[in-house]
Amino acid sequence: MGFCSILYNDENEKNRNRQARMPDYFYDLNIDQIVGDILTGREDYGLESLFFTPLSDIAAIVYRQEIMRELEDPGLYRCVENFTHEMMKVREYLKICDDLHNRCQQDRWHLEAAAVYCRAVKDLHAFLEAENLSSSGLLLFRDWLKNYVGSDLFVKLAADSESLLQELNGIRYSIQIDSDCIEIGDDFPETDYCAEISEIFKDFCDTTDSHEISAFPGLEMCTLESRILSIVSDMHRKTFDKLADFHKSYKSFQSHCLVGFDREIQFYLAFLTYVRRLEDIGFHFSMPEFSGDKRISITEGYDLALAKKLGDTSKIICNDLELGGKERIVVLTGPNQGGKTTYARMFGQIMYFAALGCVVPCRKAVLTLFDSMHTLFPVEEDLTKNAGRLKEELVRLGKKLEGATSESIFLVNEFMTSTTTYDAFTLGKRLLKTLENMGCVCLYITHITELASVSEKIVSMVAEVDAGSGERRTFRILRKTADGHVYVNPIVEKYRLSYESVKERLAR
Amino acid sequence: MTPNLLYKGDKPARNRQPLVNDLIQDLNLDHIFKAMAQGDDYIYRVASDVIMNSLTDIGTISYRQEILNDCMARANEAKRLYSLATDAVNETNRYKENTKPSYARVVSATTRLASSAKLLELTVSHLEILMKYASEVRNRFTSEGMVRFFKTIEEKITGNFLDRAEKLISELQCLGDYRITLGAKLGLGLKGSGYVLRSLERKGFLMLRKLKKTFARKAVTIDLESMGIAKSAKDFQEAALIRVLRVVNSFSEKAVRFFEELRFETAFYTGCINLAGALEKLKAPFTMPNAYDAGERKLCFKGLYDMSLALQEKRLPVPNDLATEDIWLYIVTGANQGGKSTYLRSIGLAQVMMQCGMFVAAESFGSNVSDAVLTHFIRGEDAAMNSGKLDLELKRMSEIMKHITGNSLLLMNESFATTTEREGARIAKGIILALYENRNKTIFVTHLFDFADEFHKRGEPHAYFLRAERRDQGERTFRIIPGKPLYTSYGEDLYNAIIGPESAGE
Repeated sequence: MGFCSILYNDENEKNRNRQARMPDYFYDLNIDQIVGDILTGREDYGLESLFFTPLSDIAAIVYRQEIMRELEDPGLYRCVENFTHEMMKVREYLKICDDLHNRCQQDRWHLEAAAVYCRAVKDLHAFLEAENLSSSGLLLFRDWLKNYVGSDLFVKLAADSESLLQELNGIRYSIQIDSDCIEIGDDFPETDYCAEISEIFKDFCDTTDSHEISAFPGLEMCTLESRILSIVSDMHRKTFDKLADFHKSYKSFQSHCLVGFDREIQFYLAFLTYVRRLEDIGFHFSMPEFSGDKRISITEGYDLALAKKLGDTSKIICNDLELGGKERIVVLTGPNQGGKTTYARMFGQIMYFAALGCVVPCRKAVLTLFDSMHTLFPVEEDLTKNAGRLKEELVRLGKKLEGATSESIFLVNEFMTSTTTYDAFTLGKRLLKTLENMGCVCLYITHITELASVSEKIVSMVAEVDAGSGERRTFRILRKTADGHVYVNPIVEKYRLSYESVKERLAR
Repeated sequence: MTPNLLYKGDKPARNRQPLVNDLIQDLNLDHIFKAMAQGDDYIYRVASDVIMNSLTDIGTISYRQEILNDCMARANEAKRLYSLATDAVNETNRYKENTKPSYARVVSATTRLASSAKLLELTVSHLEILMKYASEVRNRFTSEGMVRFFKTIEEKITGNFLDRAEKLISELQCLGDYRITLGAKLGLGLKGSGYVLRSLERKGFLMLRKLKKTFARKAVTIDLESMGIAKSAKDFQEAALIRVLRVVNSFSEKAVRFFEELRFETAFYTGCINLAGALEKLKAPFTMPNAYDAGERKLCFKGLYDMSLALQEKRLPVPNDLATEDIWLYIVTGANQGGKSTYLRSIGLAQVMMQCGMFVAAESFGSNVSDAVLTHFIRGEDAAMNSGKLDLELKRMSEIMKHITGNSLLLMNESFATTTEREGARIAKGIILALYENRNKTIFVTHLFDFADEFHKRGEPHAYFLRAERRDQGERTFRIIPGKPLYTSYGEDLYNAIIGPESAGE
């Protein structure tokens, strides 16, 4: 099997339909923010649709996981990143070449682009050859690259560009400016007036300053510059003829396959850059496993978007989720502001990023595949309690249930609770039954505690409240219930001046 | 070139005292600054800046102490150095002010070069003055810092340097046209690059040089007939002259900066000399303190008094003695108006002044250096009891907790007096206990008797109790002596004073 893509293990997967539109659950789970952060600075590559389409085939996921894991090696990562930066330069130089008007200048920029391209390809090849690779994707790519670098076309391109560059860089000339004329000569006396006078001050000033004169900024040349260039090019006719020939013979020198690689590898680089930034401030990630059965086990998971926003591990509480093969539905209750929605986001994000072939925000994850993910979160802008809203919610629910299977995931958050408590209970109970019968995985957040016991198969979880200090939420999500109230001196605690708080502040 | 009179080597990052406005207000530091300045605004600014940028390195503290002793012994010479630096700064500033480029017209590089030559002349002449002063007085100074400073001057401002600089000045001052030769190579996109100024010849010599022709084997001439080309040629010339300008200006700027630094650093020592003079007039003693390592816990003094109060009242306040080691919590109790605040201030002032290399108001003083000196003093505005005031007071305390480190010194004066004694005691207990367990050096002046008494009964080995001395009849000596908390109150004293003492029969 030959190399086809660094993102897909085979042609079928590569040509599968990709979502052009952002899935609904992106907003509810704050995945839109995360993906936005990940792609910042890489807008030119058009990678969004990749993120809109999670994979649903284990082999395809593993293909990416292997590559992702391999690219975690800082040396390899840097090498690939350098390659993409050089490719960016190639594009930039070719663009300049198109924009300029002077033919000699166009030829020269084209040569620069070709030389940068050749060096970048050679560097990438040399690095990969020396590397002990194991992912099938990178191994296939390396074989392809080896062939390409050895091809006559590439060898000649590289040799021609280098020798021509050397010739051009060796050219020296002098400019003598008088009030009535300028004289261009091919000689190069080795004196530097500024260096001479700065030597007087060497005990006081740093003399390592460059005395290079900057004149005529910009890429275009003024009339004087073009005149000087035409005189210099006449002095070195042979070299300039070769330059024009080079442009003609190597009009388009880039390999399609490498251009594709440069774009697709951005997926990994973007994600790993994002991960590393969080890892540097102490956040953990792990590569998920797919058990093949229905078990789900997440250890110390957290909400990525929240982690990014707060940027401090001490402010983030991690939580676990354990669902045995038979357990499908979790009903989560507890106080407002207790971390319930964050928990749902954490779970959804982990399932989603796992299906992209990425590492996920937790210590350890054993997961199952899903065919679709659905969120039913309250619509924020409409807070009025009326039948219209309930109806709108039921319509939404109907649509989601239509395509759902036992492989689907439902994340339900205070849904259909705008109505009377009795209705909310009855409707909730019916929805839970439906989902239970369907056999899909569901996290159901509600303030109606009775819903946790409508079926013995339901796992009940609670957002914990600290028993010792009254209202304080611990943001821990547990499989049990307990809460109590203790009076805290409000002003002292407001300024964190109790014995415990001061101790904590001094310890830092 | 740097004077290095405040720091031995490179300046460390500024360690500005946190919550500096509270510190200045609570310790009445302004009177110290004023006594140092003696009307010189610049010295006032420098004094407050240097004193508020506390040193934590004992080596640097003794480096300054040594220089200060040296300067105090030769006050006239030291003050001359300050006025010499001040002259240099003022004159160059005046010149720069007068030649400020006007936005209305473009000044040609030729003109700017002439003006730079003038500034160069000015700075070189001041360096020469400095050199002459140095050779006159250098043998009188003995401290490491001053000796090294004069050595630097001697090494850098040499006769050879002055000769060459003067030659360059006269070369650049002759206004006129120049002929310029540049070297170049082909850069990216074939734009000329690596332009270097090969030579700069005055036009007067043009005829002579013309005969020599150029060194080039092949040469092609471009006539400056078109406007565009002539303009570009002019731009080229300007760009080359600007390089020359930059070399000259960069030296002038360095020299001016050197004089500015010298002025700043000598202003500090001049201020100290002024302050010493003011204290001598009051016959108030002062001494160089002993700074101990930040990790130690030490506080020893003899004859310590509040310098700021002495300067304000023009008399020597009641001095105090103390000798403690391995103590980090001091609780001072006793009647109001008993000299407790003054006591607290005298310790804070000595600590702050010690940590900038100054002398302190005592016969002897020793303390471990602290990362920061923090003050939590009761303010007139929060003396009354209400919850809004407690809120404000705790907010200030919380601010302090943000800045405090393990080796800070915290001075608390009647903290938590804005609420009931019972609640105040409860809050104090939490905070003080946490500080104590963390080895934080804290001096707490308080009237919270129940709190102080409870703490005393715990028998903590690193806590020390002091109280305002009070004779049996309620008479105050303003002396602070070791002693456990006693239940006294201003109210009772007042009652006794007005109604009469408690009689045995009651």
